[in-house]
Amino acid sequence: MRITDSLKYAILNKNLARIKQQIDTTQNKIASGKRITTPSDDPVSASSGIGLEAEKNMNNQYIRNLERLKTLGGFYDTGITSIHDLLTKAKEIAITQASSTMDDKTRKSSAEEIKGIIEQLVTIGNTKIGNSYIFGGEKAGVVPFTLESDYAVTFNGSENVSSVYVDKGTKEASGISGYKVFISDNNIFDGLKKLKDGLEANDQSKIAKSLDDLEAALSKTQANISHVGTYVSKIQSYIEYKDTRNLDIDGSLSQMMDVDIAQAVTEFNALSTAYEAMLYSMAKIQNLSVLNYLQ
Amino acid sequence: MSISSILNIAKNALSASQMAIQVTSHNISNVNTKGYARQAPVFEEESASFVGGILIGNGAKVDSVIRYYDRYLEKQLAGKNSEFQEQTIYSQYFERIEGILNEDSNKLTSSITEFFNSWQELSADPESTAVREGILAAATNMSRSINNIYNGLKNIQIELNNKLKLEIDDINNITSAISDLNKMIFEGSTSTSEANDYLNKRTEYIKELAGKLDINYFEDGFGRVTILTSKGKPLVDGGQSWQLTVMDDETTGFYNVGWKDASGNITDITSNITGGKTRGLIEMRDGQINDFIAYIDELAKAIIKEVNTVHKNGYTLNHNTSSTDPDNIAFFKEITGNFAKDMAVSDEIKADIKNIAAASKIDTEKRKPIGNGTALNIASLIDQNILEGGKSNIVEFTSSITNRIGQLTKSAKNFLEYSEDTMQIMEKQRESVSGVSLDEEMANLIKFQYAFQAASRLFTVADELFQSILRAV
Repeated sequence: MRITDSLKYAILNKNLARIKQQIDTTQNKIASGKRITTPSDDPVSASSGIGLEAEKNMNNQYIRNLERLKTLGGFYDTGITSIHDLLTKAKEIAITQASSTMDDKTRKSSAEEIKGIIEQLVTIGNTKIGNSYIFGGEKAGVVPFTLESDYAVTFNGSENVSSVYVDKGTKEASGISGYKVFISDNNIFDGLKKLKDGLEANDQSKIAKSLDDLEAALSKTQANISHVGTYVSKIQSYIEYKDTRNLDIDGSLSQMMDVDIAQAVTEFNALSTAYEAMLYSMAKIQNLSVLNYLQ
Repeated sequence: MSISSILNIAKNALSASQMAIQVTSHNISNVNTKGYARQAPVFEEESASFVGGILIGNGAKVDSVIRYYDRYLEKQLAGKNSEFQEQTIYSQYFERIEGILNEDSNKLTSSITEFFNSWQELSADPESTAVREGILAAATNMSRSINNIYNGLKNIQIELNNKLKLEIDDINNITSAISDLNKMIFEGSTSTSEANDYLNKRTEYIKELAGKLDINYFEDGFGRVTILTSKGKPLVDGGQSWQLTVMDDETTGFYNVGWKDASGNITDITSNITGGKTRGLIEMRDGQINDFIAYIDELAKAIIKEVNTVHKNGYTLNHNTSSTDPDNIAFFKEITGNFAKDMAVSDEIKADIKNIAAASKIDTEKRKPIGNGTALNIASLIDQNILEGGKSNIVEFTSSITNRIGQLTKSAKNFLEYSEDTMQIMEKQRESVSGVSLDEEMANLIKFQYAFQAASRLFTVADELFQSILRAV
């Protein structure tokens, strides 16, 4: 084959361009730390990378939701524990005042104490975190409990609670409804009102009767405390599950997308050597001409 | 036989060597000219004459200048160039489209997940206005991302269309240049150096033309070339050339390619173009880009439609307490076509974020929205198969777009590389036949220089012979 001058240079040019391009690609990989910078580098990995990134994004949202539920759980725990304390106090008063040694006067002043307890319970029932009344159920925007002048309490919230997503297609209740805490099974406010009325009326038997109600209310509240406890630990384990899942995703993403630096650097060195060798041979070829011998 | 005939031979030899040196210098100066085929003088004996019954030679002359040229190789190269140029367009434009569809740059999928995540935020805090601001921002961001992708793709499509027109103009220039060269080649003798240069130029033009359009061509007995489109429409015949033209297609708004006959009638040959740059441009413009525009449109349409359906059934913070009906407010602007182009948050929502609904029911007495049903339903759309006729969800859909453009770009790059390699091999072969080697030319130069010097010497000899005779007189 005749090798002509322009062919000689054309081949060199072409190869130089090719090696330069490979060096550029390798350099990009090293600089960005990514094996895949465009989808065409590895279409399958690039597209599953998008799926995994999206899943991670959604998981982060689920974790946010769960963290919120966990915080909320803390508020419920504090609230319901206070309810328990207040009910215990009311029960003690009832026991004391149910005794025949107590008189009209002590019962009157105890009635005031019970009124205070009812007021405190209403305040707890109307706890607002951010924009939501946490005991309002689905009607988070409405004040859930209103105290009437006769110390009866009406519930304006809803029996159901809202839920939020904690996983793809899985919802979890946002806490516990005020209906369940205060109203259902045994209405805490009714029991307390009964006690207050009994005390005011100095009616020993009525006071004694209200004790049963308070007893039931206490055991319901105790059940609610453990319910919240279970709820929070369930949320916690969800969070851990989601965190682990995200770590797995990070692992897969890194395996798919990240460059093996050692390999890339070796490749880069090999290419640099090839490039230098080519420049060297180019310089040498330039000197190979009959013109050097014609003076 | 006379001394003056020696002078005559010397004169002829001198001019032959001079001509050979000229051809050599022409070769040397064209060492880097693209498409140049090296030339060589063909020496021939002058016809001998009888002197005293003996046939005696009369020196030499340059009979013709030939060019080293492989017709079949050139033809193959031209055909290969059609393929190569077409592949170049694919590779170039798929890379551009890939750039637009690359998640790293457009953040399409992440902006979509952000949008649906913002609805989850609302579901956790349905009364909040701050969260509603977040939804508006995420929706605007997502719409913009989709709009940008659409605009990017559309701009490429328009660019392809404009390029097609430029290519057609180029084709017309080339065909008319070839017909002019045909005339000159026909008029000049084919063996002169000048005609050889015309041939070189014409070969180069044909190769360029083949890069733009797949063609068939052949030469007639006078060295004139006839060029036809692959479907047989003449472009050049002898000294005549036919023009191509672009015509507006009313349905697509893009150009079609027309062929103009002698009386000016135009035939649409768009679908008959099966190779070259023009084919690449048309195929890209009408095929692949449209596919991707259609994908992004389907995505926008599904999001707009599904979100609006749910949102219209929701109750907003501005719910009118005199009614129990849902507020029927569209979240996205309701449009009937060009979804990706015009996707935007509706004016009601932009005007007042309290028009964003979180609740799917109301309190039957107080008629106030309760719960977070709408927010939950919209948030859950991201997992639902709302695309490809209920076959895939949003993330599956966007990742399949990425996969598709990735595959297309990858194979276009591979094809181009392959095509480039075969081109290179053929170019090498062509260079090996037609290319100029300076070393060779130097050797020739010395050879012809010595011949010239020797011929000059003849003059001195003839002169001395004359002198001797004159002295004797």
